[in-house]
Amino acid sequence: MATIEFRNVTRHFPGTHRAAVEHLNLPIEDGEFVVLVGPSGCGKSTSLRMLSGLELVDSGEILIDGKDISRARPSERDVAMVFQNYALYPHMTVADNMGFHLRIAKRPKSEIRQKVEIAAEKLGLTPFLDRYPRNLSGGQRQRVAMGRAIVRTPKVYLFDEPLSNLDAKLRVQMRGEIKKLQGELGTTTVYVTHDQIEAMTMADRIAVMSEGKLEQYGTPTELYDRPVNTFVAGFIGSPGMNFIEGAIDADGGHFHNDAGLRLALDGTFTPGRKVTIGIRPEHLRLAEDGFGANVDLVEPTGAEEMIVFDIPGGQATASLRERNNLRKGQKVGLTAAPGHVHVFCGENGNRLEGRT
Amino acid sequence: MLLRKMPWPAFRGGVPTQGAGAPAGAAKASDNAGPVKLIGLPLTWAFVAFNIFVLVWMVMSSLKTSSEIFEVPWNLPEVIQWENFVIAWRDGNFSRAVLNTVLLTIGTAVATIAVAAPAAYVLSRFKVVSASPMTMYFAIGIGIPAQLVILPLYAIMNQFGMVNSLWGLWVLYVATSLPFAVFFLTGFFASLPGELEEAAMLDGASAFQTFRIIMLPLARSGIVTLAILNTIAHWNETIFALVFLQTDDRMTLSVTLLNFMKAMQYNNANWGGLFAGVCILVLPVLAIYLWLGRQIIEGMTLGADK
Ligand SMILES: Nc1ncnc2c1ncn2[C@@H]1O[C@H](COP(=O)(O)OP(=O)(O)OP(=O)(O)O)[C@@H](O)[C@H]1O
Ligand SMILES: [Mg+2]
Repeated sequence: MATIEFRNVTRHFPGTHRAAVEHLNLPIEDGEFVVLVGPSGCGKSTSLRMLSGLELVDSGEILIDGKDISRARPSERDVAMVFQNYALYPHMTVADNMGFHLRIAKRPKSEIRQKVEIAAEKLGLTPFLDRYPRNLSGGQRQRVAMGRAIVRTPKVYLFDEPLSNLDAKLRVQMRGEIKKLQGELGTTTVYVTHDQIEAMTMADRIAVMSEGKLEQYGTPTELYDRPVNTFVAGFIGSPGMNFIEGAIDADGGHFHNDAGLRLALDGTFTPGRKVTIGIRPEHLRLAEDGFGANVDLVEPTGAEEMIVFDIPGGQATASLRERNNLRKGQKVGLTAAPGHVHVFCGENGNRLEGRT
Repeated sequence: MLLRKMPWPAFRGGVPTQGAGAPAGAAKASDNAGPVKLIGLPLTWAFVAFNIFVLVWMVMSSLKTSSEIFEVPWNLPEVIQWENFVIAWRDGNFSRAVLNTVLLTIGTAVATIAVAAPAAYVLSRFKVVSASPMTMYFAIGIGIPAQLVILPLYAIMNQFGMVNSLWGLWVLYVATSLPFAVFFLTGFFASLPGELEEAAMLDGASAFQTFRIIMLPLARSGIVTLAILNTIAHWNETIFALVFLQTDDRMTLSVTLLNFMKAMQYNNANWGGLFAGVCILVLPVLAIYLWLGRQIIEGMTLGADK
């Protein structure tokens, strides 16, 4: 049981031109599953490692249960980490790997054995306890790495891209299992990934980072429905949001671009203001009275069709549920409900809300 | 580099293969069949054949009489002269020398590793400013020939009263072994993944526990290689032993053989006995090579790769 809080945490590696993590503020509640997500190099691992104590904190504080632990040794923080490459001790059996922390803590052998067996049972590792890591599949190694963490019953679990070495199918299965396990154990968890689907499916709250800064922190639905800027808007959702640059009409209630595309907006905005609008592919739909679009590419995925359209002033991807039998070159009308059109400032990309 | 074969088998499980690295590496490995191979292969075989021939001839000669050796050098011995070995062992004072050499050799290997392994681990891992100059310093030590420092060393050892002492020689052996040992093991430790230490750190292990329980066992193949190379080097070592040892009871095998050779030259040379002496020196080393050769090569190439 533990709360975590990053307070103004900065880490600047010597000899690099920008801070790896800059003024990070991130409160995490007891029992919460928080995912740090963002493109490569945005500082996710650095944040996690500062929390674990494997990386120095230059300034700011990290609190666990209200106590600043940013200068404490890793072993004093009572956190368990699952590494991307699992970091299993190759010369120890699965049981010894899982019991290593307890062995170092000088717990009695019988207690270690018992706890390891309970954890192994939970993870379906019982038949493998006497094997060496080299004789396990990737998925099983992954489980051992998790087993090593849960045997300890620490205050906090940390995961750094734990699934990235698994194949797609196993990844989906494991992410479900991790989520379920965390729910059962109720232990506060910080999970790093660059995969936004992983983030969306697993997280209670997601922290989206970019270039060392926190862009947005919220529930998956908040991030999806109300991204605070074009970065988050483009990062969350797959395929990514369509962006169209242009300006607000004189009436304040419509968007248009130079190529003649025009769309109704939700609420009113400053007339003439330069903006970028964003529409998710799943929110575009065919409509007689919509703006003109030409089919460029049709990609059926089975459940839906991914269609790339040439639209006035660029391209847009739509994912359509119903089968429309569209062919390349075909001319159709496209539209999106005003509530599904996100408006961002044309200069800094921040979200704009219309007045009602 | 990703494709490098890991000699410690336990390790393969720990690091998942990086699929992306494979095609590039594989292409590289297959295109070295050029002129080097064409000339190199026969040359290597010629060299091997020559060495085997010399060895066989040496063993054969050690079982012949002196006159046989000169009159029919290529024939097998008429009657096998086992007593050549008895003569060498007894007259050459070999029994004492073998004991001295075994103790000295093992003692040197053990002490060298006991000092070099922790030193190398620290140099490879702890990012202190002085780490890389210190590694360089050790590397430079490898290049200094023993002959060059033998006189000053003699003066120093004399002051400490450690001339004509097996302990003194042991100190010298360990000291002169360290540069290569530290350099070799630094490369070895550097090739082990750092995540393991981080995992151990979070598991609550101290730096020393991490070294002893995690890193040392993983570096086993490097350490064994080093031990073998070190043992062979000191089993044969002559220069220091010749200069620093004086009395018969403290001689090592190589010096004893040298003295035995001198003695043989004066009294009506027993060449069979002499060859027997050489065999006593050489065959144990050869046995070690045959027994652990694979291990040595794997350990060496890993070290060289870094
Ligand atoms: N030890 C280090 N020394 C110098 N710079 C570092 C170090 N570790 C990380 N960095 C830099 O800090 C930035 C953040 O790195 P970090 O590893 O936290 O990224 P990440 O978000 O985890 O990325 P990825 O998804 O690729 O793992 C990067 O620009 C990286 O190059
Ligand atoms: Mg990372």
